[in-house]
Amino acid sequence: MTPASAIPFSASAQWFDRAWNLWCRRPVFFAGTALLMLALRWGVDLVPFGGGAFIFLSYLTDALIFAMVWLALSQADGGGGLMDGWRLLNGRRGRVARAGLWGLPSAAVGFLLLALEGPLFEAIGVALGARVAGWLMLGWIFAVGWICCTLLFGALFACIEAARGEDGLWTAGLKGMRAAYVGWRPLLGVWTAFVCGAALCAALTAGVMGHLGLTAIDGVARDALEYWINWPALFIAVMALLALLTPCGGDLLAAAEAGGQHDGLTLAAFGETAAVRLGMVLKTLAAAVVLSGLFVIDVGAGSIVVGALGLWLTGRALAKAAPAWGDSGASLWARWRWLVLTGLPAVILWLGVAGM
Amino acid sequence: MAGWRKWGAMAGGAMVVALVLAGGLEKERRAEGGADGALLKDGWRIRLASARVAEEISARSYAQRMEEYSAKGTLDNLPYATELVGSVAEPLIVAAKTLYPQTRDWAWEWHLADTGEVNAYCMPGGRMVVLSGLLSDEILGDDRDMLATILAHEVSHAILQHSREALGRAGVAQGLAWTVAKSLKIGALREHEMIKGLKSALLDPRSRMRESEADVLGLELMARAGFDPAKAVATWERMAGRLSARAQGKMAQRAIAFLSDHPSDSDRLARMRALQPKAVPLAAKGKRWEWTVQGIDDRQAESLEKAATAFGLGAGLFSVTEHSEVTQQVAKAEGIAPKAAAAELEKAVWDTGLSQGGAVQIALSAMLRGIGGWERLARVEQAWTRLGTTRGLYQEPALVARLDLSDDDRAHTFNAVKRIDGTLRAEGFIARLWRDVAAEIGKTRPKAAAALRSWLDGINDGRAER
Repeated sequence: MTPASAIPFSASAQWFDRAWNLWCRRPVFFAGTALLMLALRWGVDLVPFGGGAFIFLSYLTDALIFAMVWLALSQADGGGGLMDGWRLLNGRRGRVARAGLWGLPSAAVGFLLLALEGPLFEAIGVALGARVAGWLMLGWIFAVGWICCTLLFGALFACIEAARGEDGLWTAGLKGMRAAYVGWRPLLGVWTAFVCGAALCAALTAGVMGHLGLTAIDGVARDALEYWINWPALFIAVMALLALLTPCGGDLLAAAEAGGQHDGLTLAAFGETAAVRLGMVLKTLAAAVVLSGLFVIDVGAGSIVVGALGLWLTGRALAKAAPAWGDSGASLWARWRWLVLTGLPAVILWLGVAGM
Repeated sequence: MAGWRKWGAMAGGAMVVALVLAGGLEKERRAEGGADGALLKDGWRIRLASARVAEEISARSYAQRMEEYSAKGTLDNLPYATELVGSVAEPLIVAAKTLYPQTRDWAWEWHLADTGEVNAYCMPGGRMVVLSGLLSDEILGDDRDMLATILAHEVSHAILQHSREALGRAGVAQGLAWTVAKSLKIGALREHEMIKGLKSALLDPRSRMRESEADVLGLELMARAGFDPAKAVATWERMAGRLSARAQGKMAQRAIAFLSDHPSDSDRLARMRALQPKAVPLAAKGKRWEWTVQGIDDRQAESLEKAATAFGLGAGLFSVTEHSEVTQQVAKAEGIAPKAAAAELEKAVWDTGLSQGGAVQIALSAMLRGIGGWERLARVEQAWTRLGTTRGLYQEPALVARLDLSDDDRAHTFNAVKRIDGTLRAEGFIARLWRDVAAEIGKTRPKAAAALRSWLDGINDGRAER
């Protein structure tokens, strides 16, 4: 066991403790930044473009805000304002915004795993019964959320690396992902706390809506309330994430760096290993899709076969491209050709057949 | 200072959790003595939506549906089927009110919608609707016990306030999925899957449990209303049979159970078979007067019996002597005397469930609703007795004008006669009656049955030509 992998689950409690202290010192700073972030997201990808079609734009704005917060709070005098953070980003804003694109793997993983939800759990329902399948589906959604959350933290750390002076997009991303990887246990704690808090907020809002009679509020006003009533929960979540950024990012980036030195494991090796394992995961998912195809009744055989083939081909190609992922001097084409040459056509075909 | 704040926030959070849970925590209450022989125990439930909001939502949805049915002319447009529904719904309402006092204030209503769909529902507040496909020959026909099984199941959902529970849970699933999806930036492409998955995971297992609860309470309710609980198993077997073409075997049934919010048929049938013996004693208590409207008290039963005589709704309601044409054809087909043919037809009519237990009950239900209350019914019966006639009001409507009644009572009596006539002369009822008579007489006299069917086809063809 390396020192890096020894970061315990309980570290998340310490992060929350430190985040709480930070928030207590500067509540207005965190509330204002969270509001700014939500306003940007609402303006960029929630409303004007029909709810998320251009969601990648918000990865860039989020990257800048997280980097500003990090720099602002990392000042020796106890932290400056958001404008200080903005000024400190002088000359690096483009690189930081670009590093935000490391959030796309999280979106891709969420997209893929949630697409498999239907056939996989129908198959489990057939094999083990509806009740077991229902509980397992809840577990699946929780696990998918946790993986997406961890990958998003990886993207966040990549932005911080870019803000701290890392010029290479590739290196910043690998460093960020490695930090997220070494912190998977406490990040699971963060994710669990978030889900519990979101569930409580949802119960509260459901209770409020469930007691507001149609005679009290109805029509457009009720629709508007139903939409906006969930925003306070999102606001609290974003504020908590901003407050967690310094304790969590500081610990994990340091641990990843120290772990790398201790193991002698280079970033390149980490990239290669990640690509090989991801390829294996895709091939395993292909097998799971084929297996579930034997049980499901509402998904066509064509979708199952094409989907499994797409996953398997993509996984195989990614594993083959792994050496390029380990080589920091490799070209973009060498790293991404797996997606273009094999994965992309299969995925397009799959999407076409499945009508997704 | 920060420590205090932290502990304060945690205590505040705990209080909020406790308030949310405590605010939604409720328990069903049966009437005193209602727990004797109960098949379903009262349990604690978390309901995040208030009864008032659930009622408002259901009332709005109900009004919309009623408007749609009325606009299409499908609401209560089949007199016989409508009264059939009423004759089942009314005893169930009585049983529900007796067992759960909180339902006494409900705005109970029942209707038939001739949409051809195979379904029935009961909304919060006791608004029942049966869709006509359920009463088709392939599904329930006009078997009142079978219809009672389905309606009691739906009424049980309303009594147990399942829609309130589902409303709250759906709100939690929707809110949680929205917050998670927006926080993780899953985007519109997969946000729908997240919401759908969370709803499935949070709602469907619970929904299947709710269906099981409604099965159990429905069985108890139908038994307490005097219907035959043995028919519950047969009913669900028949409903399951509808799916058999799509879902052969246990695996396919499990798949359907996962994709729908209902328990698998095998689970449901096993549960019904196990509980049926416990429901039989309840049915014996509920059957106060076996050949008429169930679920009424002894005084009401006595009043109804007298009124049945006054309206001429006794066992001789369907006299085949009125149909000499049929009698002649049966006599000719079997080579027997017309008098003997008439006697055999009378017996067959009596032996069909329609005449003996069904049609008379349906006619009585129609009479009761036409009259509009037990006190008026008693007044009409007393006026008929004072008249000193033996002819029934249904057979001799002119007698109504001679009854010593107020204008209002007389108008209601005419209304009752009209309702009975509308029910018993409905094409659906006549066709069903003679088809059943043909089946009954066909057990011993196949030629007579063939002659009857041919006569019935002739009538139907004549109608079609017209």
